[in-house]
Amino acid sequence: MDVKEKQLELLKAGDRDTLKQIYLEHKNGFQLFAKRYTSDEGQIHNAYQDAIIALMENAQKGKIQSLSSTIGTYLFAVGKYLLFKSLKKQNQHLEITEELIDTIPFESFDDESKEESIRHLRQKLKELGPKCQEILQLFYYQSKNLDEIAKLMGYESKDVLKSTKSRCLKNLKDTLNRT
Amino acid sequence: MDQEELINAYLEGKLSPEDQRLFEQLLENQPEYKTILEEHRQLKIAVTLEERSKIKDFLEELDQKEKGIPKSKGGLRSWIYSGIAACAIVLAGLFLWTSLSMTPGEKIYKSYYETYPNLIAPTVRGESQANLESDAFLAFDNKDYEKAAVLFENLQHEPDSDYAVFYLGICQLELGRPEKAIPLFLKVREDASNPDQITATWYAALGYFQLNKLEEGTQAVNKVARTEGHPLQAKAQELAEILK
Repeated sequence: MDVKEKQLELLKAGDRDTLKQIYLEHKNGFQLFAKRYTSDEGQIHNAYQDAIIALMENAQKGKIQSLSSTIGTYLFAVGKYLLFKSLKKQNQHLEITEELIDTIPFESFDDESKEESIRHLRQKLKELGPKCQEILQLFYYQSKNLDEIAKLMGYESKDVLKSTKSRCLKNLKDTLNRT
Repeated sequence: MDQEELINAYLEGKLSPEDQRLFEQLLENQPEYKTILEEHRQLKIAVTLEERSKIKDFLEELDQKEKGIPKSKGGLRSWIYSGIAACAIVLAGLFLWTSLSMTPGEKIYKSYYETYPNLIAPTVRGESQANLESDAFLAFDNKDYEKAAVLFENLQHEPDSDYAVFYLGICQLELGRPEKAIPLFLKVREDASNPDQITATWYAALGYFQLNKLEEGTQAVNKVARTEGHPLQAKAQELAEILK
């Protein structure tokens, strides 16, 4: 297994040290690269952070089995796409090639993040216990199936996990209805 | 698969086309499923945004830590004096150690290696239109090989930039990473012209010598030495003689 594959494996497992290493390693290079398109450092910063998140999410969801390029090239491509998308919102004319879109499965949920129902839901999620938060995180964010989650969290059976998850969702609904 | 897993797989686009069609049919026929799907979608987005915000906090923390690395103050004279004395001892030792401990391959590398010049994009002062290529060569000309490597790495996927792999290899040699440089030189295609494959072979040979892989290095040198009329042929022949 080469360094890149090892890093991807560690990212899949959610290893923060690897995330830190990758983030710091390519940060300056990306800033330099992105300055060709905009001088807005805030936008460059956001695009880079989102590219890092996309890398981690797609690794965790098994959408990156193997990278034909290096991790740096992947980050640059995703970051460029995200930067173009945010520049386009400000009516800057930039071509986003189809090839670029195909390679990048990442939804930023910008509009949804402003919806009241989502905001409310996020607030209530924070009030759940740590175990419930972990189950929901693994299921909804990392898209793991129940067998995988049961194994990861040391549940003796899938059914026990299933009933715990249902209880968590019921608690969440109850707190939502109370307000 | 349980119902929630099915919905999750649908939202992730992980269902087979057939299953997806069946699921969409179910949504059409039983409107209550649409409500369940929407609830699930909202929860998925909320959990996702929550998690992303945690990761962003972590990344921001890294940025803050990086900015806050305390710079050495160096105000204490005694520290400076003892520092200079210590450095002098270390340097003297290092000089002796490096010259005595150099492998035969490293000695060849040291005698024959020269940075390959920028023959692609001469840096023109006052040129306002910057692009990736000129940025990369500017960094290369300024001997900022770390930065140049990042830019060449990115450049190699652009059209008409066969040279990028070669120059990325040179950067890696300059940075003391021959193990990374060699595969790059071997990637240079037979029909490449600027620089050509034989020049790349020469640098691959030097990479092998830096790693003290004498056999592979000699093979590559011999290949260059056999190439009639190549500017590096004479140099390669000379080295091939020494290696015999």
